Amino acid sequence: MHDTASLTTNDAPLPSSGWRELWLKEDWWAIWIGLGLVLVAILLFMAGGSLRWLAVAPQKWSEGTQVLTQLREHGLQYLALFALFAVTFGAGAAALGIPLRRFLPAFAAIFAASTALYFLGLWDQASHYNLEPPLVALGLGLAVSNTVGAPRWADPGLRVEFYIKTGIVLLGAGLPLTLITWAGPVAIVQAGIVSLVTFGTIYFVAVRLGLDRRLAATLGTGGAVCGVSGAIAIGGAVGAKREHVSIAISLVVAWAIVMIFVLPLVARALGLSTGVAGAWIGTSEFADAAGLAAAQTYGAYAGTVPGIAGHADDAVNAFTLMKVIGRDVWIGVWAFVLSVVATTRWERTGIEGRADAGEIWRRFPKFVLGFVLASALVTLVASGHAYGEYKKLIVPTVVAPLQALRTWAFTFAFLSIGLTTRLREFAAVGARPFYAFAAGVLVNVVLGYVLSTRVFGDFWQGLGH
Amino acid sequence: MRGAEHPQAAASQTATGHCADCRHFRGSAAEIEAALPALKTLSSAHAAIRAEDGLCRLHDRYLSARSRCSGYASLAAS
Repeated sequence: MHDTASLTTNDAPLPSSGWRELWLKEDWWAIWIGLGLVLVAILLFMAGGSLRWLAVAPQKWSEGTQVLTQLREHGLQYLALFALFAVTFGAGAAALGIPLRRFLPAFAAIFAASTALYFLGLWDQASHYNLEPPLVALGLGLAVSNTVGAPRWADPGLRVEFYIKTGIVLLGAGLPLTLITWAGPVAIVQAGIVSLVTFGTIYFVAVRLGLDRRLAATLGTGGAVCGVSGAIAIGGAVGAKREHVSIAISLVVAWAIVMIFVLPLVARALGLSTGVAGAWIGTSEFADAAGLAAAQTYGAYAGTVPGIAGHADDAVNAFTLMKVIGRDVWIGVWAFVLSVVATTRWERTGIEGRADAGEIWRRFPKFVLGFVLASALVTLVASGHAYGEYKKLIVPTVVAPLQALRTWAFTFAFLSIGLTTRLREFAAVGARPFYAFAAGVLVNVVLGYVLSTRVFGDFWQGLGH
Repeated sequence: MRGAEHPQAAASQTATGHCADCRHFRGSAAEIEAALPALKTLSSAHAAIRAEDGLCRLHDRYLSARSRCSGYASLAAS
């Protein structure tokens, strides 16, 4: 029953951003940018050209002079690529309310640092020294942010989610729609089991420890569904205290960063194939950006670390299917159900919530639509070609350039994670929320491992085939 | 009104618009990211999943712009 005794009922229209969301939310900008690039790539292919020139990427090198040679020979392409990203991300940033004059210098620095990291990852000794670009980007960013501090002028360019969502839309171009429809149901089942058990564990332990139910639910969805995004979605849906949302965010970020390093390390020690490890990371990491950093790191072990079977892309593909299709898209349903429970079952707060099924769409992570559409578009183009032609014609001219752009977008994100992680800004979380979340992490990691390696192990192992 | 945090506000207010139109509500992405500094590390106040949520300065809660309470104070009146 709503707490309406002191309210004078009126029928004022409920607030809604409506169509304005199409240019005021970064999910939609990720779609416009990602799908726009996919369309350009397809149109160029149909006209007999390719996006390849623009989608420049460093090549393997062994001596510093080779880096200089690459930069000299392809300098114009790197400048053009910077211009492309500066214009597209700049337009999005401006629409989101970030002044262009502040975004562009910050982004120029991010692009320059990302170029250096990209080159570092292609050093022929990089794997020997464990210099995987995602981990180096993260480690470097963390070191800078928590010692001398990232310069304030760089803040407007540190948009982790904007870059990662755009990268995920571009990633869709490399995943056949048939693969999404084939693997999607398995991902949904596996992720559904883990999400429900993890949420139940965190919620149960938190309530048993005497924590507020709204905090328990916010922590639970942060650990079980989609990390920080899950925490704020549910925090808003149930009307959690500000400090409780802050606690949940801090716990998710801290654990997610730990898992970026731990999950690939343990998976490597266990000799998991890239597909299986990607599925495990997708089940047990807490946020898209953190999980992609871990999955891309693990994918790079294929062919370089003895005993790691599978293709590099399998880790990122399995992760994305599990995390995005299996977990992220359900956040609206979680928000709707928990908002109903909060308004009907939990302690009153003096605030009247409005639980309705529209919550499912309002909180839907719209960038997923771009991911699926990108996949559908490339699948449609490929459908008129035999597999051999697809590999020979479409992959090098359409898919590979889009994959290169995706890697750039992910690198911007990985660097931004480290540079925005300021440990001193984390909320003092307290022991009880920590114990509740840690219990969920433990259950999540063990159950995710069992499901990824034992129950559905053969499926994820064969993902690339 | 069990659990109400500001009964004095409830007693003095009768208007009942939504949080979106209340002067206690802060719904801009910049204000939310400033109030929750770790948010942009792995998410964003510009994300679709946030819908139109924001911070209520009266109740010190993070809530939907579609919520209502007896402490409502119209933006138009301020």
